[in-house]
Amino acid sequence: MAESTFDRVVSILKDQEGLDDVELTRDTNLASVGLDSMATVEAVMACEDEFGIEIDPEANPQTVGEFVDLVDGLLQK
Amino acid sequence: MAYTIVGTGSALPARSVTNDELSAFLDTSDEWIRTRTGIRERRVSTTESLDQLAEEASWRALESAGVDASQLDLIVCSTTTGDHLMPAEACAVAERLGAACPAFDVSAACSGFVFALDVADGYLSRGRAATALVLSAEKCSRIMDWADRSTCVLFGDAAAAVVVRAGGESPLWCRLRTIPNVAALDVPGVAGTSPFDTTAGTAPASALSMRGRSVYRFAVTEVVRELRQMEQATGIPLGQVDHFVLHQANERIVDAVVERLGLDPSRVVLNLAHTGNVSSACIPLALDGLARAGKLAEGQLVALVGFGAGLDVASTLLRWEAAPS
Repeated sequence: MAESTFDRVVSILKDQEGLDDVELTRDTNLASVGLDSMATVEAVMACEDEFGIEIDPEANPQTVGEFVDLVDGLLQK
Repeated sequence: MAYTIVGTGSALPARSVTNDELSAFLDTSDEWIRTRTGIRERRVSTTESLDQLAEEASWRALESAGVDASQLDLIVCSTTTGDHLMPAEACAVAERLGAACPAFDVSAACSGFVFALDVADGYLSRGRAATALVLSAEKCSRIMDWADRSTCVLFGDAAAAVVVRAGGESPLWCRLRTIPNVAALDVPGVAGTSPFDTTAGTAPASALSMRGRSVYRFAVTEVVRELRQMEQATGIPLGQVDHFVLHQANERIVDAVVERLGLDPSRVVLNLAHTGNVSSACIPLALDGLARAGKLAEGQLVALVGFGAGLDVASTLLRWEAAPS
């Protein structure tokens, strides 16, 4: 079975520093696990490379779920 | 024809403002600012005018070059925060130095020093000047919204100058680009009091606003693109460049560029901890720091990359050389 968008996004988020051991669910707040705005932009840029999509530079997902939905929304276009 | 940098100089205001001091009136902390930006303190003008700082930096550059102000054929100043809307900051410098040459400003925000260097190169290359003073003078403290914790903690004031003379190998590469996006980083001009103007009041006059995410992304993407293009066009591998002097907007941007390009961090200047982002003065301030620390040896390759409002990005590759005879 192909890896879900959720799994792929979580893997990218975990590549950000210090998130290896953190369990991420859809409801996880990005700021609460230490992902600040610049780390979020880094993750957004990594998702663009991974999925071949273009994300609004000012997009500001607050949770893992919002992040996954942002990517999924663009993948369905 | 080309040019050689034959002297450097810089000047900072005396007053240092620490992160803790900012935390006293902003909802922020030393830890927050340090980990997100790499900045610990910045210099902020209290009694110094920008004219004074620019003059001081210029005298030091002339002194280190062994050039007299009367020998200058051109003064180009990069600034967006001058003491005067007119005349140019460069004119104030000319007056204070007693120079009698054309003097004007270049406005290209944080990329301004590389733009100004390229302008001066044009005058030297066309034989219109043999010796030029190129400086950046920035009093960023005057364009801050001091209630905006996301921007006012980032900037500081400084002036820095170089003396360039015709002749030499530099630049081995130079490219200026603009990817127009005014709203990403904007300081609206003087509001004025014209009774006829109906456009006033749309934004606070003369206070900086920044779309941080867009700017971060632009910076990392375009600086990487510039350096890759420089490598490809010159055939000089990035591994052979001795010093990378990138605009010092944020330590995290520099780190991201280092990581993406696999650069040796010891060859990449990081000098914003004690001065913050001093806009276009970052690059010449860093050059002066390297020169005065004896870290610039003859024959070394120095890459400069400016980026900022515009959105502008500018890169150049210099060969550090002795003064042309």
